[in-house]
Amino acid sequence: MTAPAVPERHPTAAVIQTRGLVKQFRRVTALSDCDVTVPEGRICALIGPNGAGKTTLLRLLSGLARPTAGEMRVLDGPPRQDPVFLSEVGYLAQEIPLYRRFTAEEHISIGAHLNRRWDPTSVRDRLTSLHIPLDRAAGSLSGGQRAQLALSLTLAKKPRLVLLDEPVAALDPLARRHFLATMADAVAADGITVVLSSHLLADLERVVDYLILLSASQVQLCGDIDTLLAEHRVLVGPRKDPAAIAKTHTIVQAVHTARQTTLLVRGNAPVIDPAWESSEAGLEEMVLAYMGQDASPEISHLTTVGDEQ
Amino acid sequence: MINFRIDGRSAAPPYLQIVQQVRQALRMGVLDVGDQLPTVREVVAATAVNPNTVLKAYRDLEREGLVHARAGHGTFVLSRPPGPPPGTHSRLGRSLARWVREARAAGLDDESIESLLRLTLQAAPEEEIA
Amino acid sequence: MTWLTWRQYRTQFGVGTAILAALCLLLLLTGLQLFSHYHTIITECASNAGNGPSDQNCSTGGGLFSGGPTVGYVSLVVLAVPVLAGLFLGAPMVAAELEAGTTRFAWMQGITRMRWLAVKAGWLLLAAAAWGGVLAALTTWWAGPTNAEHGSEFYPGRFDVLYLVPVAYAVFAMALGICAGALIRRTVPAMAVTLGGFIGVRVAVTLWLRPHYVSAVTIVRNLPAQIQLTGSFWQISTGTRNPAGQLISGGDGGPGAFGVPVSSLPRACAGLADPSGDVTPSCRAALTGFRSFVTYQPASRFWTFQGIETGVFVVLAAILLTVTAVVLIRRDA
Repeated sequence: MTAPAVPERHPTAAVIQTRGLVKQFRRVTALSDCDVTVPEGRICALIGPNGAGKTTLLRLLSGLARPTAGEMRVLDGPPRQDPVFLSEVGYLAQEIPLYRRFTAEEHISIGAHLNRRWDPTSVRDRLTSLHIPLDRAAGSLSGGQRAQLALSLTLAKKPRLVLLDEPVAALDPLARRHFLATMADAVAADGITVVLSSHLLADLERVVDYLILLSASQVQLCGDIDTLLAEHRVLVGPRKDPAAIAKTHTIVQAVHTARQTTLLVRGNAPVIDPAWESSEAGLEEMVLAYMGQDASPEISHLTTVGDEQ
Repeated sequence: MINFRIDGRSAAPPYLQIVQQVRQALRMGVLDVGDQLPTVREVVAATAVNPNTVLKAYRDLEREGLVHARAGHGTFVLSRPPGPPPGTHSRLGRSLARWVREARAAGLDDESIESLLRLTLQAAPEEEIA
Repeated sequence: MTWLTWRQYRTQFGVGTAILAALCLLLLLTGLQLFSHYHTIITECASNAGNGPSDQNCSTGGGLFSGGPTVGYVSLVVLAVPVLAGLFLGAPMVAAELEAGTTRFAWMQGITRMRWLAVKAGWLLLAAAAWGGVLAALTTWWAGPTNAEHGSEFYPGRFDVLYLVPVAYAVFAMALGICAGALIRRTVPAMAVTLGGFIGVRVAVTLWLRPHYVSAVTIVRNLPAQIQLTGSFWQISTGTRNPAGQLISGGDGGPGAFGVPVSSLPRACAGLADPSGDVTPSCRAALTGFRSFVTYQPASRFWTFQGIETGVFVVLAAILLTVTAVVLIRRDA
């Protein structure tokens, strides 16, 4: 344990790139016109309300499901049935699939038989340090223990990209912290890229540095969190029609009370009108503003909350 | 070696919390020149923050000349922060402003306030800067 | 993958082996008893050759096979057994993993879905073949005396439990189970479909396909000459036609001769109503134009039929596995 061993990385290399991705189930459109890019070495939060299409996107990226339309590049090409691709992508489904009757040790053996690269010691060390028994059937472990086992197995493949679907939803706060620490440690050690979904950002806020926001099967935001925050501002002023602001900024959300109007806007142009008091947007504030947006932008891209007058 | 505590509710972003805690530790003497900072992996494993956050904090500290990253060995303390760290002035300024308001409310005029301050400075012994 | 397959199915393999062992034991015990009984009768018959009373006993093997239900039971058991492997190993192979979500674990390891299917299905099919093979070998040995006695091994019910075909049935049942599981994605319905499908296909093939593998041979003789066939042939139909070419119904009642009622024969042959009566010259003359026929598959075709039937079920199994592969690749996991 010497170096802060974070490998050098090319800041421009995108691990995930999608264009016009569409996934349709019989009648339902689970994902529509999805364009996202995730650079290498990031921990990316995939945030959205339940049913927004998070699971669908992750399953498309993992190659478990196939898109109805659109293009994807994951690592070096489209997701495919190919041992090289499969060994470089780790995927952990929301229901934490494990063989209920198999012990942790047996799962480690399965991994050893099914993967070219395999690091059994990392799994054993991690589980031992968390006091998770290696010789008990997975079905008899607690939810947190199962999640840790499944994550450790996913990481033991030494993948370059890890996709985690709602990994912390079912965990208590302590297990949640352990889980995220395990994941972040793998990122620090091996420079892997992680995408993890959640319907709550608060769970992940400290560990992620990249954000994809899905709402009503569409991508609302995708980018570096600091950059996104720098692009958004909260404007507070006397109640008025925000049409003037709309010329220079995109209004994400407008909240009107009898006397006051609060806007969350996107855009780097300066706000000239001195009536508006401008302040930085918080991450949660920004995310909630987008999640509250109506699904179809043509109906309205500004939501009005509060009493009308 | 120091432990970082990252407060999710703090207004300061996690990277700034790390920077502040290192500075604080240097000022308090918890860390000394030549000491090693925890590795990125150690911080990450203990706090579950993003590794890039730790890197960013360490880069900031390095830019300030407080620490020095030796490739393959870790990050070591190079020097103590010179003088009061940024932020002290504004913080003291704020509490002073509060005190001035209080003084005026108590009926002191500007002259009385100035003289009181002068007297206090003369009376207090020279202490080392914390 | 082989290791995983073994680890996942070792219980089922164990249970299967135990069932097979129990069956073996049953067949061995009754088989040995049958053999000794058979030999006793044969020896007895040989020493008593020509002495009236035991003739009847000799021609039926002492009622050992024709009267007792044992043969029927064993045939039933052996007919049903190949499907068991398909039900309990085949149907859950994909379906149970889909239900438990473990495909999302297995299919995200460093092997392709094709490879996963190939190895897993490969071992299960091999197990099915072994299962069917052991069973067939035992039954074939067990049924040796009765087949020698009755020459009935070509008949449905016997044909299906002997030599090669049980292997093909077991392989087919396994493939059907795997395919049903992959299509339906739920274990219990897949098992039901496997059972129904297996019975349906087997009945359909036996009734409508097997008789036509090779065109049947028909022999026609003018009465009163009789058709004498030997060996393990498979008689598909038989009857007697009058000079007008009409089939004489055999079910009118009354005393008969040549397998038809005497009442449908010319008056001159009325004397045949008495079992000891001879074919008189006038009767012989009157019978001109009366023909009896037998349509059958000769005993020499037994192995051809075994081969074709095996081929049919192996091809069906191959088609089912191809469908499974396409479904697993195309469908979202």
